[in-house]
Amino acid sequence: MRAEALKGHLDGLLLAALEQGPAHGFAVMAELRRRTGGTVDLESGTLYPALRRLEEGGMIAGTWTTVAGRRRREYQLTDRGRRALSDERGVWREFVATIGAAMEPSEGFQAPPGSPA
Amino acid sequence: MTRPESEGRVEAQAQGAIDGYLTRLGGLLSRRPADPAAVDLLDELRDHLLCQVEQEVAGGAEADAATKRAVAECGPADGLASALRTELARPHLRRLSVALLLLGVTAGATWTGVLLAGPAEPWTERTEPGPIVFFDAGGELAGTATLLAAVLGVLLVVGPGRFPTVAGLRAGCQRWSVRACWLSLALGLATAAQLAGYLLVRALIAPNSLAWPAVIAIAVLTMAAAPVLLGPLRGLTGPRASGPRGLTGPRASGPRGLTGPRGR
Repeated sequence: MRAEALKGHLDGLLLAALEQGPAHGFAVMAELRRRTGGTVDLESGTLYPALRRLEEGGMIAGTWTTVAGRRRREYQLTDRGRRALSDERGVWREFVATIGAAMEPSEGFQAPPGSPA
Repeated sequence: MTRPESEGRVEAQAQGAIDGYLTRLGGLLSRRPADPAAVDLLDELRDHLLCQVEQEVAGGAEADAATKRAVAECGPADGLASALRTELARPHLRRLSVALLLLGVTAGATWTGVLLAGPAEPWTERTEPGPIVFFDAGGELAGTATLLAAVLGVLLVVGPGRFPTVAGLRAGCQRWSVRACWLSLALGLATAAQLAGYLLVRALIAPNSLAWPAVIAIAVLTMAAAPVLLGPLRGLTGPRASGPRGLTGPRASGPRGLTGPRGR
């Protein structure tokens, strides 16, 4: 999938990956990779700035834990994040329905009168 | 909780290469080794890399090869630093813009109060000396512009973070916030120079028309407030990876790596 096609949907993707429960950055990346069959494979330079942006926007909350002796930051959706995800989903479904209908090959197309054959 | 032996072994083997990578990255991210935001980010990346190595080793890969692959997938340290620096700069920028605003309001109100509470000006509007008119009007103009630039800086850095944002918009606001901060700093210095000029001229023309103890006390307090700005300024002026980058590092900070499959 071309990178341009995903721009603008990154926040929604990350929120969706966190919907099932708290997860750390690597788990978020792995979850998106799993859900998309490897098509969406975020780089660290994309993932972590985006997580910080969402945290600063109050859509996710990060907490430090210690796992296997090392520090780990886990993120979970806030109420605001759940609302944002719901909004993103609504917008996305509308987009898919509208653009999908327009992009499908049209059956029974009839040229307007006077058009060249 | 006891750690699985294999996990500890993987971590020990991977640690050297990962530490080397993170040390390079840390050097590019922040000039101050103890910058808490950079330390947190490096810890988070360390966990990320180790998770990736452990996952590959659990799938049968050699630890050395898995470590090399994990580090390689993070990309060159300077490229990753460029992507992360914008986010790391945000707290410093927010503190700087808020400090500028608070300092501007406080200093402006205090100096106005000191001058108004002191002896009356020994001249009327008609007989006001030219240099006093110049420094008075210039100071008011520069002071107002300083506050407007400081307000703009705060709005630009705080606003975008409160909404679901497009990364490009956020980075653009941050760049403009940096410019507004610099403008506010420059105008603040200009205001201080105008004020100093005003006090000097008034002291030369009519030294008894100033409440000197209060003026000296407030001047000392104003200079003592400078460190409030220096902390966030130091945090912002981190090292530059390469090229002519501004305070916030790279100009392009939009989603960089929405890649397709990596072709493993």
